[in-house]
Amino acid sequence: MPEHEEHLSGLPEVLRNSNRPIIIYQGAPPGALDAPTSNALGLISWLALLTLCLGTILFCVWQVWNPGYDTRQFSPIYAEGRPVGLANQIEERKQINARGEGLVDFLDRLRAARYNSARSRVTHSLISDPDGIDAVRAQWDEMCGNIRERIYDRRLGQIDSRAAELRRRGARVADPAERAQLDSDLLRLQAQRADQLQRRRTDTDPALQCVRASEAPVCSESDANVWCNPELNRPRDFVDGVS
Amino acid sequence: MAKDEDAARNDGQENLEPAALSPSLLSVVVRLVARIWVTGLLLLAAAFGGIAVYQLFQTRAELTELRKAPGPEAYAVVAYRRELERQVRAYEQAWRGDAVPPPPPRPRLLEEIDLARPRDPERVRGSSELAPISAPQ
Repeated sequence: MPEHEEHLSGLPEVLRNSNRPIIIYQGAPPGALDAPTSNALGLISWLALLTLCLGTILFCVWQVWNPGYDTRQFSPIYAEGRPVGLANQIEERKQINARGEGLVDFLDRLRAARYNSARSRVTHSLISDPDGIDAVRAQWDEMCGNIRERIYDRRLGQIDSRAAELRRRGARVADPAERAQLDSDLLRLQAQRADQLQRRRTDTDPALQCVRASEAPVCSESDANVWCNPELNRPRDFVDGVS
Repeated sequence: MAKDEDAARNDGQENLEPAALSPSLLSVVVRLVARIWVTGLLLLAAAFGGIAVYQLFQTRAELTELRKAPGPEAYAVVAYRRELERQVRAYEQAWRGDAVPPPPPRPRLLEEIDLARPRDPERVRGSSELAPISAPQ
């Protein structure tokens, strides 16, 4: 009986004092939770299906329209790198195809015109347009010449600054032996300067001889640069034309 | 005692049954609307999901189709032009070496074009003015 009283201690006073039987279920009466459980499972199923559909939609939209760029990948069109989204890749490919269209035919026409000694001028927009390869090559050659000039200027500037330092020290030195040594160094620097000027005039320094872009070596078969053998670098970008 | 328990059970069922058996009209309508709404939402999501998947595969097919042309050789020439332009921009500002940069190697198709192109007087004159690039100053 005390145990029974202990079990009833948590119940409200009204219930404990009533004469009616107290039935305590664990969970719910048999069958009472069937409908709520079924409803809950149904709702979870609907939500799972809805989530799946929405996830699919988001994934597809991301694949097509993602504007991000993969900066590690070379893109002939986008300076930022190769686009990740399919829509931008299509745009990139359309531009590449438009620029490169008819290049092989252009080569054939060039050979034919040369063979026939035709006077008509055969051109291709990728080669001879104002922003074509010819123009960019001219820019590259000019850039190389500018770099060469800057390097010579830098070398001469270093020699001149060392010579100026020697002259300053020479003005302060009273010892004849030390002054003679400084004069000797100064003469050596002047000889170096004359040598640099001579090299600049005659272009005899091999490290500072610009090679024209149009006379650059030809790509080797194994060169993995994308502008040499793109199929080596990005094999999936070139599908077989025969379907 | 057993009689009391049975009576209590019967009372409980009597209290529950009327509410379960006679749902109000409002609750029926609300349930119906909710079910239609959820079903419609799901059908719409499924339809848009199908469209999205279809569009994705269509886009991939279009890209595959575009990749059939112009082929790696012409692609290499387009990429060469881009690389040349990139080097002009990059080296003009940031070349710190003690030697001049080498030009990028030419694609084979471009070399053939260079060989086949006529050396017209204007071009020859232009190149002789420039050559050598590092002409005596």
